[in-house]
Formats: sequence, C-alpha cells, structure tokens
Amino acid sequence: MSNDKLILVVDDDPDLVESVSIKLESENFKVQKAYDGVEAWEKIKAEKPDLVILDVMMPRKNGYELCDELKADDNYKDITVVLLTAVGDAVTSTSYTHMDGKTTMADDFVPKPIDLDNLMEIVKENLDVS
Amino acid sequence: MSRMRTEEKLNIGGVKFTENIALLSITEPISGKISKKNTAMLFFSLLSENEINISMLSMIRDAKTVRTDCSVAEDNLHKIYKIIAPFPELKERLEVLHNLGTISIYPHKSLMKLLGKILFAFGKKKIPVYNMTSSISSFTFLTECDCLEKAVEALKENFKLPQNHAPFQQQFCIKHVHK
Repeated sequence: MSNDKLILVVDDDPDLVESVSIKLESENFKVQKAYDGVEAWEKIKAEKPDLVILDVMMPRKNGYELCDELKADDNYKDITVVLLTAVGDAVTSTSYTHMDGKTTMADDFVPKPIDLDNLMEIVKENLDVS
Repeated sequence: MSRMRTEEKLNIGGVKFTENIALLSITEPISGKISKKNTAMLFFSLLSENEINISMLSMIRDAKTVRTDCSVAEDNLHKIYKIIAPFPELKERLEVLHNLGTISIYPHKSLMKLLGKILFAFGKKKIPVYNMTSSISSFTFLTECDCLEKAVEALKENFKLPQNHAPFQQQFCIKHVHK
C-alpha cells in the first residue's frame, strides 16, 4: 500500500537513480526520477514532491544550486532535501566536498557510496513515516 | 484497402556518451583447467593492483579459444603498456582498438524490445557495435568515437527523448587522488 509520499530522486548516474527508486518503491513510496538539476526543477514544478534526494555533482545545475533555489522559493522551501555528498576525502581536487554541502540549506546528508538502508532511515525520519 | 502498420516511438529517459575509450582483447587457447598462468587472470590482477577502472567486461568462447574483452579510458593505456611490459606472453596476446566511445540508453525497464529497436536503428545507419552490456538501468554500446553523434541521431529518429534532455556527454569525471 502506498504511503502517499512522493520522492524525487535526482542523480546523473541512471543506475543509482534506478536502485534508489526500487528500494523506495519497495517501501511503498511514490517515486519520480530526474537525471540533472534542470530536469529536476521541471519535475518539482509539475508535481511537488515531499522529499528530494539530490546528488551534488550534476551537469547543467548542480545539487547545491538547486537546493539553494528551492529553499529560497516560498512555494518550495518546505520540500525536504537530502543531499548525496559523493567525494570529500577521496578527491582533493574538486570543489564538491561534504564540508561545502554543510553550508547549504539541505535538511540532511547521505555520503556516497550510498548505504540504502541508511538512506531509507533518513528518508523515513525526515518524512515522519514509520 | 492497404493497411500500414505504424508503431509508436518508444520513450527513453536519456542518452549519455563517453569518448576516448580503448577496447582491450586477450585471446588464449582453452587449456581445460584454470591456471594461475592464465593471461586474462594475470592481466586483470595487474589492472586491479594499479587501480585502473574497466567500464565493460565480456568473454566469448568457441571450441578452441576464449577471448576476454574489456574497455578502459584511453588515458590509462600508457600506464597499462608499462605494467604489462615484464610479461611478454601477455603483450603477445593483447590486442587494442583505439578511438572508441560508449553510448548508454536509459532506463531500459528490462524491455528486450527496446534493445532490438536500438540495434535496428544502429544497423540502419551502419553504426558498428563492438560490445554491449546492460546494467540495472541502462543498455551500453561500444562503438567508434566518430560514430557517437550519428548514433544519437539514430536514436532521436527512432525514440522519444525528453524535450529538455540532459547533456549527452559527461562534463566531469572523478579520479582517486593519492595524497
């Protein structure tokens, strides 16, 4: 039975989007998918999700930008944003780090590689779903 | 009355391609038992020890030989030649195809019909396919770098892509940096 919560999964890695979506659907969430920040914005405007699982490193519009825009918009600022922070320790030559992520207004963070069970816990906690 | 059957174009969520890929093939005779002297085993151990990523892996076997194919970024070739230099039997059995690229179509939703239509579209445009793989969401095809644009055109003609499609080409890649 569906719990009526709609979750948008945004990542430019289609395999990650698919595996997270399968897990969410198995937990009875409704799922939308987007593969970059621009497509995600369009989906958010078309059907406002309850929560967005948002990757940081994406083409066209990265996760930080999208998160900032969402939180600055009165129509969408109540949408919960869970950022997927990929790199941090492993890559020293990128501007996308976990520390940078903490300066955004995201509601929660999940480090990559993703532990799906941990992600589900964070999603349920943020949506107050048991 | 003549009836023409028109088929609706299938929807796909996206297309992505990666350029500058090399295909490495090792062909060896079937010995009947697994040996530590197996060249493919040695080769992949060397790749693993040197943290060289492979994006595709396949094996083809006939009555006398086994051919193992894998694809790596062209950037890694210099390093690969260096690490296999001490193994002449490996160098001898290794064939390299340059200037290739991958094109991935997603999501496939486990539709064999989609795979058939993609191959048909590529075949019509005479786009060579050297290897193909599937993952949880995508079908990926290895072709020539010069054919990638043509492959995208073939897909646009035969499938419905989202109106505001993401860029076809990856804009960044992550590399592990040792401190």
